[in-house]
Amino acid sequence: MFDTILYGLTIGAILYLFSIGLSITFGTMHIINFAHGMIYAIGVYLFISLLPVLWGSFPLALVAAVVAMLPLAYLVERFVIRRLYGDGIDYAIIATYAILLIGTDVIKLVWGSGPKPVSDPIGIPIEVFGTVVQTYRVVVFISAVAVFVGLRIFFTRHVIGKIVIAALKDRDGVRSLGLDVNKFFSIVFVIGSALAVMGGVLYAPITVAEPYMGFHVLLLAFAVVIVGGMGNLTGTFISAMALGQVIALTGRFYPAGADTMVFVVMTLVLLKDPIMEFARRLAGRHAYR
Amino acid sequence: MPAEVLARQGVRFVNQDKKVFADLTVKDNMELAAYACGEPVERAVERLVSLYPKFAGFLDKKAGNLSGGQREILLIGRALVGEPRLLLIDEPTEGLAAIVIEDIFRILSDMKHKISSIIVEQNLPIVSRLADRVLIMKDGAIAREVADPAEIIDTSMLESWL
Amino acid sequence: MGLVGAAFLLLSIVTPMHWLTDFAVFCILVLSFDLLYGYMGRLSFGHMLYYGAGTYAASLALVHLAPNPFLAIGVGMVASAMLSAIIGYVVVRIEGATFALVNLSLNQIGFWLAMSGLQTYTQGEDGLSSSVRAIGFLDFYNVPVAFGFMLACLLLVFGFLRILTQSPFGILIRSIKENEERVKFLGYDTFRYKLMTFVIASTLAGFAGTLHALVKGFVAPGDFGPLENARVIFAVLIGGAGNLYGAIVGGVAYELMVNLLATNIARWEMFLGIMLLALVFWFRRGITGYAADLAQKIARSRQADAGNT
Repeated sequence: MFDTILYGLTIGAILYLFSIGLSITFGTMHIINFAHGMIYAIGVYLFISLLPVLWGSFPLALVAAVVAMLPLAYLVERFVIRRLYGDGIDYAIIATYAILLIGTDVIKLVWGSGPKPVSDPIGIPIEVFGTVVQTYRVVVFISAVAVFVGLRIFFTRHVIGKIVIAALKDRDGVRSLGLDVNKFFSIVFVIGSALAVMGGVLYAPITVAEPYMGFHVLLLAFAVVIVGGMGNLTGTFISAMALGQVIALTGRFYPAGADTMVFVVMTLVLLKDPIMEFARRLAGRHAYR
Repeated sequence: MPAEVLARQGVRFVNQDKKVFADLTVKDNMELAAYACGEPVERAVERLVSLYPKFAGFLDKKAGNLSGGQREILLIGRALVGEPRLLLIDEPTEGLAAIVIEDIFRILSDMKHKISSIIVEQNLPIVSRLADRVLIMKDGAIAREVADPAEIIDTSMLESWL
Repeated sequence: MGLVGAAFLLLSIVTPMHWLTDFAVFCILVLSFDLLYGYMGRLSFGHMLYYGAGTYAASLALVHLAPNPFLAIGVGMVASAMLSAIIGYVVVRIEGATFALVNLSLNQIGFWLAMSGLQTYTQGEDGLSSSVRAIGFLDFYNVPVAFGFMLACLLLVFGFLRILTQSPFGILIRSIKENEERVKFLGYDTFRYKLMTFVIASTLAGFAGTLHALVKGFVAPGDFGPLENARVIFAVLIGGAGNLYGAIVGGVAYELMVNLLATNIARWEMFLGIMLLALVFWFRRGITGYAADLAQKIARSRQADAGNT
């Protein structure tokens, strides 16, 4: 059982790292950013190509892949996301979806359509609470917790983090102080993209890299962000960890339904209010509105 | 012109909605303003406290928990960071209790000799005590200028105009 | 309506007829999506769920009940109508991004049900084959007959939506797109209208799905996966959202592109992505929007000419 829970924590960690950027972009720009999946997938493929060049060092290739993706993330923010700010949710969804499609095809063009495995960089199992588990998974979970703590400090202590927190609710207030809000949103967008690449690379040894990996993680991350509350960073962490457990536990008893269970949970969370209201109506008490 | 460019040229707004950065502390609110002007935070905070000494006690309190009047004072304090040349204040006393209105009046009259302000206000006794020049607006246009600020206390005169 | 029919018949001179059969089915799907998105302003990333429900219900009816095409159409439409009524009852209360995403996740659940959850009925990934018996001259394996039938269905749907969108109901749902609060303020129960539109759009998508089952005789989960929604959204955008002719033009343009380019352009997804970006950034009003501009310009210059002489 413990290995199932640890697996859930690992999946939750990956989902968290990926979802932060989505959540921030929704909170700041009110945009659902499908292009986040493109950054994630291309980052992983870049990592795979960089790994042999950098003497097979996993951490080095991870850092290099993250750094290499920063300019691309900036370009997406500057020329697509920012241009669509305030244009209504649909155009942004369609445009960022288009970028994801293009990115997927670029992967197929450069790296081919077949799946690419990445080997576990640690490989040595350890014993925790009497169960033998992969050390790597423990490391992944600890990294996610470290990122969570780091982001909390950034958003409560660093002035740039505070500016973003202020601008989430009062964009005009920040502008009236003479601060260019877009600049700060760009910074957190790029941070979010870097974390997505980190999540993707950390996930690669657990699964395989394939061109549509960006689509798959996006679907799960939408569930994370919606359950956790869009733009709510602590909520995103809790929700990612909880949904990681949903995946792991469902997977243990009914493997075919593991991912789908996440959507069932998400749908229930989203429809909480209408369902409650329906229940009230059934109970004959509809004097609330 | 974008609001941030206008602000950097020395024109600051205080909107009537009394919206502070509610998730941040009072000190953080001042820090953002100080950061925007490249001023040390301590100086900005010091000036806020000199404006309204009670703030010294709750610099670390979430700005969202302040009363309406305290928010207004915080907003004025925030707008004053970095020596702006012109301050535009919309309805500073709207919806506030009488005691706080007196505090705000005191702050605004202290500022009078240091910075030019344009204040939109409907509280006529305040206007008559505070203003150097009074312009009456009607339907979005300036209807007329009142020669002597004290004169607007006389509501019958106003009724003939509005 | 005659215009649409004539255009399709004209196209049949230059394009293979079995293509046009598919085009007509796709156009019905695009029309149904346009009602929801173009007219009522609700972007769903899960419209294909109802297409899939129609296809599977029709195929199952063909396999297990009787190989009668009309029975299949009836069963498929009832299935998608019931499904959308239940789901719509809760989802039409939400809007914006959440609406798009909750529908996406519902579509994903449906996809998974067809793929593995209900594998015993749907045959999972292998897909479900079915066959139809001819009724009189109506033989779906005869290409011109199938084309004629699908075209008739398309015209029927087009005519129905034309009447619907020009009726007070149509005006009301367009007002909901503009400003729902105001419509509520005028005393309308917008929930009822939103639910009705959702069910009509979904049932028509289901109708298109049943036709898919009839002409293809085969359905697999991939036919209605969540990512398939991009095709419909794209078609509506090329044509111009909120315009029935636009939906037809977009549907045909998209299908022509797929059929002519997808086999010749190796980088099809990239091409589609770039086209979508171009549509969002530079050609938001779609083909019909620009055609209307052009027509207006010509009319104005004619008027000017008439004034000069």
